[in-house]
Formats: sequence, C-alpha cells, structure tokens
Amino acid sequence: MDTIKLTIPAKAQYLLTARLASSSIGARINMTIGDVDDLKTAVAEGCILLISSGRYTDISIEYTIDDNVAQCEIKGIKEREEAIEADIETDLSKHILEATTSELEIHKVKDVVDYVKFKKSGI
Amino acid sequence: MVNKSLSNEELLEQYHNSPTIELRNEIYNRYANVAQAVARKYVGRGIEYEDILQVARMSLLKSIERYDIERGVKLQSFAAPTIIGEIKNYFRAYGNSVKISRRSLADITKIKLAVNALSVDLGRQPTVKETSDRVNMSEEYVLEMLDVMENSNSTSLDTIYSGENTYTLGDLIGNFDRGYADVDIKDSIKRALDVLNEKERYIIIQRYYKNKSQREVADTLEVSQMYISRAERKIFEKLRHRI
Repeated sequence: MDTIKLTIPAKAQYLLTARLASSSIGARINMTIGDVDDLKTAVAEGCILLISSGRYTDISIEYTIDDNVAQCEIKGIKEREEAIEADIETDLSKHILEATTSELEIHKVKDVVDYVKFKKSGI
Repeated sequence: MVNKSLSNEELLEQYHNSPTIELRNEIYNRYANVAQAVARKYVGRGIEYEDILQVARMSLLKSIERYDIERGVKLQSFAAPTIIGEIKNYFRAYGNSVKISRRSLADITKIKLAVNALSVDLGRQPTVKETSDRVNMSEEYVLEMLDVMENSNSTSLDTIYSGENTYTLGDLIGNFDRGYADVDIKDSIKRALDVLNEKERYIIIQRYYKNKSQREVADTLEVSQMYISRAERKIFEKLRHRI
C-alpha cells in the first residue's frame, strides 16, 4: 500500500497542482483515459467544496494506493482565524462527485464540508 | 442608381462590366444570407457568432469584388469556400484561449487517433499506458497533451476524424441547418445530463427522448409511478442548477 500526500493552499489557483498529481496517479494504477479525467474532476470538486467552505487556509489531499484502487481523502487543515463567507451552493460539486467516484463520503461540521473521501479504480 | 428589377445574374454582369460601389452593395444585400449560413456553422466553438458573422460578411464583400463572371461559376459557389477559408484563419488566430504549438497539435491528433483505434480494438477506453505505447510517447507526455487538449478551449477545424473515411472537422461543413439554432441548448442539456447518475439518466431518456409515460418507466424499473414523479422533480432541480 502506497501513500501520497499533497498539501495545497485553499485557493482555486492551486487546483491545477492537485489535478496534475491526480492524473499521474490515475495513470500509475492503470486507469482508462476517461477515468483519469473523472479522477481529476473529482479531486478538483472535492477541493472546491473545502475551498468554498471558507474555513481553512490549507487542504490536504491524501491518496492511498492499493493494487489498482486509489482512495482519495481531501481534508481541510489549518483553520482560518476568522472564517471567510462560505459559499453554500455546493450541490453541483456533490453531484459531480457522485457521478465520477465510488464509495463517496462527504463529512460536514456545522453545515460546512470539512472532509471528502472516495475511491476510484484502474483496470 | 441600381435597377432593382434586374436578376442576380444581370446585376453581376453589369457589375463585371462597370463596377460601382452601389452595384456591389446591391449584390452584397442579395447574397448576405450566404455569409450568414456559413457563419452559423461555427456557432458554439469559442468565438462569438457576431464576430464570425463580421468575418464572413467582409469575406463576402471581397468575394464579390474578385468574382469573375466569365468563369461560369455561380457567385455563391465561389464565395462559400472563400468565406470558410477566412473563418478558419480567424479561428486559427483567435480560436484558442491558449496558444498551442503546431508540434503539440500534431501529437494531440496522433493521441486522439490512437485512443479511437484502441477503443475499437479493446472494446473499452484505453489506459494511459496503452495509449502511450501505441503512439510511442512517454506516459507523462500523453498526460500533458491530454491536459493541453482540455485547456485549449476550442476544437481545431483540422481535427482528423476517422471512420470509414478519414476527414477533418472542416470537411463536415455543409448546407444550412436549422437545427443549429438549438445547438447551445442541446449542448447545455447534454453536459447537464453528465451530472446525473445512471438511473436518473435512464429516467430522463425514457421519459423525454423516448416519450414514455411515468407509468411505463415505473413498470420497467419495478417501482411506483409516484417514485418516478418524485425522481423527476429531483432531476429537474439538479439540471436547473447545472444549466
């Protein structure tokens, strides 16, 4: 079992970093091109849920790779001293995550997302 | 003064013998729909319709000025390819929000062809490794090109499609199609459907593409008609968010 950890600031401009890491992990576990794209989308949407919560300054993305399955945990770390205004319109991100992943878990604290976890397999 | 009762051919002949701005403008007005029809083919590809129309109209004007009646070709047959050419040039210059090098474009085309061919061979989408082996490029480079492709924002008119015959996207430009007016709506709906899960998509397709009743869909899924009614409401909410 291999683990890859990535920490990015909770800012939209770093989503590309997470997407690029995701695509190389997808390729590593032998995903199809379409699934690599789904994984990138899912990771970005998971991050968006946490960024839009306005509660964290950083986001940790942890991939655990077991054979041809990648489990991805996206967590908010380092809480802001003062939370910025939360964007509560998160339905679209949730629908996208549901459509692109399996075993999806979205955890909330006081109506705000603080944790997203899902799995995605290669062939 | 232009004689409005002249036929298009007579007008062109008159213009050919003694070109004046008034005659040219009258010809332009009569053939303006050619520019419009060609411009419509390029709707929804990353450049505003009004901008494309402007390029098409300018190109029509140039075509009228360069048209030689003695060659025996109709003006619209001469103008249409000229307008298409001008629009293509415009797309090359302004179509991509990110400029892609010619080499990358060529590699992307190779990768796309390989993905299509492998999908047929394997009966599923290929993996990144299978694709990189086929095109003889590294996995990293294939991933990079896939990203470039995704971020380039518009499709090249020279994109190659292969099926029974190989042709480019530009070759597909044909006659005026009224359906184009709906292209944006169709595209939004298609993309919106991607956010639905399998069951929801099935319900929508059965109900609105195959025109089945709620009862019929309920019977197929072995659920109550009320269930379908509730599911539909939920789906519409999702689609509304997306569109």
